[in-house]
Amino acid sequence: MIESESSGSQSRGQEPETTGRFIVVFADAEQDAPGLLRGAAGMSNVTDSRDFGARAATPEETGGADATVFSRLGVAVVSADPQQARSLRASSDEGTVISVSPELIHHVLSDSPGGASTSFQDTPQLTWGLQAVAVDTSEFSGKGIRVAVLDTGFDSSHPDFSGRKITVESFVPGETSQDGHGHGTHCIGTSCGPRSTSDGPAYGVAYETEIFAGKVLGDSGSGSDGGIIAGIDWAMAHDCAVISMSLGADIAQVHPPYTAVGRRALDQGALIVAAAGNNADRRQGDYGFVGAPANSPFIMAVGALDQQLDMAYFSARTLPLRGGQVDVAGPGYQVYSSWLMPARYRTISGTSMATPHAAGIAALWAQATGYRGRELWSLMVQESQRLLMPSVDVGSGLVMAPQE
Amino acid sequence: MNFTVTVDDLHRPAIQEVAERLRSCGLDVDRVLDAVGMITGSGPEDCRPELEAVEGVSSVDGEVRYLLPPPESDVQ
Repeated sequence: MIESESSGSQSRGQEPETTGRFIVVFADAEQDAPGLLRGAAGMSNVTDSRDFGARAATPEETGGADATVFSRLGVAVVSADPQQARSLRASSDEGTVISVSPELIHHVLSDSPGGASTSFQDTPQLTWGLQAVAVDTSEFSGKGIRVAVLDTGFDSSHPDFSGRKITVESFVPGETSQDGHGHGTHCIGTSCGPRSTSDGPAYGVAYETEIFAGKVLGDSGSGSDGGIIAGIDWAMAHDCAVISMSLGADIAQVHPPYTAVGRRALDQGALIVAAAGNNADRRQGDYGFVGAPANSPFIMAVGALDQQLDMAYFSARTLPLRGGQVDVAGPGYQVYSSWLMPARYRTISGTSMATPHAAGIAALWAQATGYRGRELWSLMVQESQRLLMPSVDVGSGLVMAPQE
Repeated sequence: MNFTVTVDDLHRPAIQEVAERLRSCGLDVDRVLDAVGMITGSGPEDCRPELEAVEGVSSVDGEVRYLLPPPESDVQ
């Protein structure tokens, strides 16, 4: 279950309302569900939805039955006494029944998911961001997945990464891959950093990934298309499943090279995630816009959330062009992660910090499912936790770690 | 100025030949990027129409620059 402690009215120990009937789910291989109900549970009056052809099986027509079997779904609704329910549950031991569950009463959803508001905070064990994306209850680590972080490089002297396999490359003329800014080391920390440290909270989402640190922004923080695209090419040549780019320019139009680059990356099994941008000031009513390259149709744009899972004030809104949408959101306010030695750690904010949360989560899903490219994109969006905020700001919501 | 040249899907397998044709039109090729099918380089601004007309070229775009806030900034 992916549910924060205060996320909804159903999570606070209320007993669900039930009808007294049961929902039986049959194994995929079970060919004769009506026969099973008659034999195992001794039911005489079994209706099969197949008898209705393409017509709906209405309550009027099925109301008198002990059981109605929906064969196309492999599901039945049954009125079973306790003895019959036990008999059906026993069938699960034989592999013919997957589950027997009380039928729940469903209600029209109220406007508000309800309850107290969420608020995360860093603990001695875990940053608030890692708690919010539920990595603490995920068994996945990103092991076997290669993640490229294209940024200001990496501080190779950082002790939290000793023993990790890290490949570095510089695409900035005249500079080594050593991070002279701090931004790159921070982003690598969030996406791929450790899950336990000697001092302070763990801050890394996908802590067993293989790291590819490409320096595409110089120590001054500046870079250009040539280096960034070369970095993407390098990451693809090394079979990185996820490419994280916490960079952008405030350009209110799609920059064509990234349309081709993003599509070709997806075709070859690499998902590019990029920062939506920090050009909003929501405190002043300015919602900004998603800049390049995140506004390209095949690059996943990531917005930033604060500890209450509200939009961070600087997080850019969807640019109303094809591809210009915010796709997902991640923790991006007061994010604790690795920084240049000797400082070692730093807490900063930005869609730059939300992006590596999403990249790390993508690596976990890549490990959990084997999915790559478009399938991985689709899964990330599908599995995001919906938030009660405009989709132009949060896309499909908060990225979440796989739980099983 | 710096250019980013997108090679069309059809000509990606022959990207080196596209690069040669771009050179002959005045592009000083910096990188030929096989995996993404892009070529980066520099040349005089007025050679852009000629580069765009090269067989196998999908688009020619001027380079965009990106700048992070300074390290001490709270929002990055």
